[in-house]
Amino acid sequence: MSVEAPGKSEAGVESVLGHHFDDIGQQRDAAKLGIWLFMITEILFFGGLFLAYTVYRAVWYPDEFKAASSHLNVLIATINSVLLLASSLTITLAIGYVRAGSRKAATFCLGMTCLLGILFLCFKGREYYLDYKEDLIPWSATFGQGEVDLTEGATSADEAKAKLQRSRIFFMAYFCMTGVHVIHMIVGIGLVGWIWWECRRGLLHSERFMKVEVISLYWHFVDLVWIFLMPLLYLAGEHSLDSLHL
Amino acid sequence: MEGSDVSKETENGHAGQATHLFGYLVTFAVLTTLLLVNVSLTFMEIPAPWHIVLTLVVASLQALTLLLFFMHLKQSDMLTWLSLLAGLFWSGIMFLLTLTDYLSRPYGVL
Repeated sequence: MSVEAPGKSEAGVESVLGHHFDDIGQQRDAAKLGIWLFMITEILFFGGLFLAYTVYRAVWYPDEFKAASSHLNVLIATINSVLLLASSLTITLAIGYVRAGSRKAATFCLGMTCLLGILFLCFKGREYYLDYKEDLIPWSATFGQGEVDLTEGATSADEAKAKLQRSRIFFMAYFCMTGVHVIHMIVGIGLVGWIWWECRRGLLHSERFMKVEVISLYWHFVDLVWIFLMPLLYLAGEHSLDSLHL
Repeated sequence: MEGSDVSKETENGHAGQATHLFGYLVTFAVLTTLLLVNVSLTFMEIPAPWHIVLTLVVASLQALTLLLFFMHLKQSDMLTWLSLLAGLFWSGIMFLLTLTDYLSRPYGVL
């Protein structure tokens, strides 16, 4: 069983202890196990998407997937990766500050996490807009025949059509995987925003640090998914330094 | 540092989760460096199967660093490790059974 940290008041512990738990340690262990079990379902959910991608990428259309990937914006993806990694740092720091009762520092770190998450979404929006402008929306009638020509290298009309269809599958996977990731980001920003507001109002005292820890685990998981989206979607093709743009 | 009081805490199951600012900054630096290594690989001419393999290996190192230090898996109990391994194990079954099926079929032509 857990031993309560020195310097923590009995009244503070009692105010957060649920009646169905023996002690605060058991309650915290249960919360932690709960979020990890939730993350197993998330691993399997994203696993299905990664598996579908793997079948198309590795088994069926490796060349078309590689060629289509080289039209994605690596610069924006890299900036977004740095933003997510920085937000993982700030939310991890927030746990310690909440435990220490440093309200100001915790509020700042949680606010920064939210802000970095919103910035990620802004860059993602910009990337989607550029994809739209370059005719890379797979359900568009003019897909791959505008600014970016995905039929390049085809020697016949049939081959051009096949190339276009295969590239369409890559972009469907790209929009599906990044779209689901964006939905998770929006949920994460909402959750972090909620504890930021509580922290700011002084409602999140040190005994409730587990709430931050649980939400931080979700946030890190969303970061983990992005870490694997980078090589599979953005870094799978060939890129040149000249093609980098915002 | 404000977090220094916290580092003395010895709560069972949560030990070591204190704010070690320097340690977390080093973790962030490692993660960012691995990201830059991964991105730079895309500008190099690496033969086809090795390019994706290398970038996935670097991404896996990033994931491991994040799991161990930011997600505090290093200080976590066996039950947490078991949860993660169970998730990976079931994903492994999903990948293995699906790929054995697809890899043994004739090439799909679209």
